[in-house]
Amino acid sequence: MKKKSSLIIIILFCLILLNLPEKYTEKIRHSGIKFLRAPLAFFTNLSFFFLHPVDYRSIVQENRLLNEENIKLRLENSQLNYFRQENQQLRSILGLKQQLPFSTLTAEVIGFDYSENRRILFVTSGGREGMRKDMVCLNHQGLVGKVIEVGDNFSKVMCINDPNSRVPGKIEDTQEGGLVYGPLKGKYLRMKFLPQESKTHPGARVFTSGWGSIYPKGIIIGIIREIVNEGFYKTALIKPAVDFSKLETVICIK
Amino acid sequence: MRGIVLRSIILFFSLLCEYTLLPVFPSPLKHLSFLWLSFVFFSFYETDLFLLWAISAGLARDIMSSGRFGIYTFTFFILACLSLNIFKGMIKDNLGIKLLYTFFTVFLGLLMVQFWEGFFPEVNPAYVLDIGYLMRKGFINSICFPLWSVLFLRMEKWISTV
Repeated sequence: MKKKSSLIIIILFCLILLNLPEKYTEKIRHSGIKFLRAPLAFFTNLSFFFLHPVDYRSIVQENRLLNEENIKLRLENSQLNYFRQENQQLRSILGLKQQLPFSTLTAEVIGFDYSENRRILFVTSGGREGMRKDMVCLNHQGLVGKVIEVGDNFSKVMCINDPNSRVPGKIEDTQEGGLVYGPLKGKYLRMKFLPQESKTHPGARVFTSGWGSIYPKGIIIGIIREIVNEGFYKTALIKPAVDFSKLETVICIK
Repeated sequence: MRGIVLRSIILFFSLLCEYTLLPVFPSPLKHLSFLWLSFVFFSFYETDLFLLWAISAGLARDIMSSGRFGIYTFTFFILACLSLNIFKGMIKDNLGIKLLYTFFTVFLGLLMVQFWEGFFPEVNPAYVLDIGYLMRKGFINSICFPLWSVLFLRMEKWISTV
């Protein structure tokens, strides 16, 4: 009798959980992740330490290359500043709207939800640090994804290889545009509905097109690996520019 | 009391590994799931509070996952009921049967989760039933289960002597 009543209580508990309104489930989840944030960050750092051990020789070499690149970029930046001022003056003469510079926020990756068709990252910055929903995240390699949920001191980022991700993209050489879908199966992103007469080829780079209100223009998404014929249309299979298994830090822009 | 502490630690570290270490492991080890292994471990070695541990594992997974809240708790509860009432009679102290049990538990559990995901498409519209993924997951976890259980039985023994 006691066993039966405890079973009924548990079933009721499960049914209540399944039917809880989203605002309550969000609160439960946020407080749970808030509690686990520090151990998650510690474990992620530990796993990176073991999986990608530090090689001091390569660090020294990388440092030298980065220094060289830094000098080149500084020079390029001073030139670009000059062009930007010139561009602003010309835009004001033509009466075009000024483009606002991005403000950025750096966040560390503290966890991964790669279960059951999902590709979601947990990152350290949250609403307290100024993170907002739909902010775009990238790293030095390219586009990572967008923020889908914001807690007090953490956020969830949906990667571009999540099956629910849709990014407006443009192929660099042919200037053809379309939506880049996250893969349902396999590791390549898909740009669907390219016309049959499309001259795009494997090796071409795909960038964000700037269509829609979320992703700004010109961030690299990936490189086309294969073009597949699908009935009336072609589909481009795109290898993401970002290595998601080695993702430690992301920069979020608004 | 020590048993409860040890099991809580197992569950806590399983959860942490599930969302930090395991997803970045190279394939096929990335299919390992310490939470599922803990569930199977509890089903063999924890008879009194098994239902409670199963629900705790499900609840912990629900808190961390981005799917519909409660799916894992319900799935783990149903699996726990099946383990207590149906599988328990079939399990003998035989390694092959234990491996088979682990495989079917992980396979069936994930199949149920994917079924729920499809049942609530507003949470994950890009739902797809991937049997290959379930098979891989079941296979890798069943192979690693003996190692996992030996590790924790040893730890339990060591803690009881401290």
